[in-house]
Amino acid sequence: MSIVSVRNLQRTYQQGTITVKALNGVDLDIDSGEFTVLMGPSGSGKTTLLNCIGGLDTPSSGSVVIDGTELGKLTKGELSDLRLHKLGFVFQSYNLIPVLSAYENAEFVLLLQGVPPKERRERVMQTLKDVGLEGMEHRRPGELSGGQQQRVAVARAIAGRPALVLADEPTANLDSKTGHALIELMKHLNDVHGITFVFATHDPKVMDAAKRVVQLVDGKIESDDRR
Amino acid sequence: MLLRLAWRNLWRHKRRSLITAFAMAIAVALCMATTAFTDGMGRKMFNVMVEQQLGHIQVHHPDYPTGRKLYDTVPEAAKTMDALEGLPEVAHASAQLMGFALIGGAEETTGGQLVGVEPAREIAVTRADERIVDGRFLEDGKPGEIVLGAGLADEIDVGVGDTVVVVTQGSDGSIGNALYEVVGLFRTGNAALDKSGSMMALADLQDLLVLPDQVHKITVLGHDPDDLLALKNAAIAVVPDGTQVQTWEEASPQAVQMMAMMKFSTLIMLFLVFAVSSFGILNTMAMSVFERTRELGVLKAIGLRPGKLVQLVVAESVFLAALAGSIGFGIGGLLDVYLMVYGLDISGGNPEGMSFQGITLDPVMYGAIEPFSIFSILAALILVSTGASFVPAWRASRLDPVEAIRTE
Ligand SMILES: Nc1ncnc2c1ncn2[C@@H]1O[C@H](COP(=O)(O)OP(=O)(O)O)[C@@H](O)[C@H]1O
Ligand SMILES: [Mg+2]
Repeated sequence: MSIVSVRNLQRTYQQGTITVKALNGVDLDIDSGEFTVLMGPSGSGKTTLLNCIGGLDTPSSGSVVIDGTELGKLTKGELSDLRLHKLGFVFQSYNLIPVLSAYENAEFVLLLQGVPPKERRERVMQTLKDVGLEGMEHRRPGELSGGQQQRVAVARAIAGRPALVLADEPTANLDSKTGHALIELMKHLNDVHGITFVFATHDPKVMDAAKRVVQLVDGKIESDDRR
Repeated sequence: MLLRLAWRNLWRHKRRSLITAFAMAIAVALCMATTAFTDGMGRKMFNVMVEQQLGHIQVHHPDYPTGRKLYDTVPEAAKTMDALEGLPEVAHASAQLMGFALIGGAEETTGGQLVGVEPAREIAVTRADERIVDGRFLEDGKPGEIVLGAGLADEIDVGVGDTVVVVTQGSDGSIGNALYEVVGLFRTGNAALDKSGSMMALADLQDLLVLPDQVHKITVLGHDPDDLLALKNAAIAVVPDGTQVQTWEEASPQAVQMMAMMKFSTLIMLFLVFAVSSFGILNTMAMSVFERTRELGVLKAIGLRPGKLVQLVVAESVFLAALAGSIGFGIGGLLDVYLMVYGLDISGGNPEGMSFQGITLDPVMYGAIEPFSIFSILAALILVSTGASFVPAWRASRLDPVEAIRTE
């Protein structure tokens, strides 16, 4: 059963007098446990697609169904709750909360979800261990390297046990070695814990890790390879 | 959790938060000091103007306040006084009889006002003894004594120990005259009164005016100045028929106005100070929200409901206000204690103190802490801090996460 089901998705932006078709009729289904890479040159609509799937952007037409729920029918509050319980986000620039420690950043989502303290603590510690940050729980983002910060971001995204993690160019701000390690980490999490990942990149090297590569050009899916 | 986050956010810009907090703290402290001062002054004025002159309630003939006629009296004075003093609501009561007379010394004579009082009761209500500047006040059971306003004594050239002759017309039309020994001189600060006032034993004046067992006015102090109605109703039940009982508010609308004006001016000042400091908070919070556009966008993106975002920002400014409040109430409290213990010299070098509408205020005014004022300041602080943060908070909650996260 598919976690994500995108039908004839269109998203147009008005830039002054010109209309930009960021997404021009996208159909996409993503199954639980998949590790999908959205490839495409800059400006091809990857971010727009992820934002529409994540309920952060509103499509001009078409529909997005996440785990059986059509996003277009939800109120803002319900969308918030859906993001909180079903989705995890990893952004390009780490976007952690600078005043909270690594532990607290990862814990935040669980707190919002209302997970009881004992379980919360176990899960945060386990998640940080899973992303390889054991022993750094009490450091604040400013005291961590870029790669480590992005691992905290991954921990924050997966701690709430989402159905799907959306990652928009998570390696773009990292050097290639650190970036590669991060991809490996996510792949490992996918293999071992079955977490579903969709991530956007225009870095061809990342392709190698993917089980499925979706190629976007000018707001349309050009190819969709599973391997 | 939101609270922890809010608290930490506050400390991100230590300097800015502290400056804002201190500015507000100073506002709070100043407000506290000023209200303590005006409350002190208000209490003093209430004491001097209301309690010592009007009483909490007063008993008189219904026509006496407007006509001031000699024969508009309260009958059965002794019995009425005892009955009033027997009421549980009543703390003190003092009866007064008024008259006009010629008062003469050895050489000079002048017109003056006579007030007959029962010394101990009068002292309990009006503290008349405190205004004696030479000699002593009247004493119970000592007839034939008189105390004069210092100005009057000057005019007829008499002093303590001298004898004066008082000539007046009694209620029956007869001319009465008698000699009295001057035992003290008083100064009230009210120039007119000091120049024409005199006091003697109630019984003496009742004889002189031929008004046996009658008085013009009974001034009553209750135990609870805030429950005038209970006091009034209790009094009505025991005074003779045809006698009027009025609260000080009914007896003197001017006094009510003055007291209200003082409260009002304090409130205006509070309002101004807090209006200014609210801009400080508004500015700090607006800046702090603006700087964190992206971060707040991320919080929204990962599923923080807009309402919680409002709570976060409001909580930050409430913390700021709490910080400001504790510093402010600390400093303000110290200022208040200083004002209560040492007071503030407002005489401007005039040792007789400042006279205001015929009331002498002591040269040194002492502060007082009124729960109402403290409560107002606290309420203003809370209102201002939540109110001023609401606009930035609302803006934060309306952020479009996509836009916010794109912001570099
Ligand atoms: N908020 C916006 N306003 C106007 N145009 C936009 C906006 N967001 C994206 N676009 C346009 O939509 C197209 C797709 O953008 P995006 O989804 O960011 O591509 P990618 O992430 O693949 O680089 C681009 O041409 C971009 O200029
Ligand atoms: Mg992009």
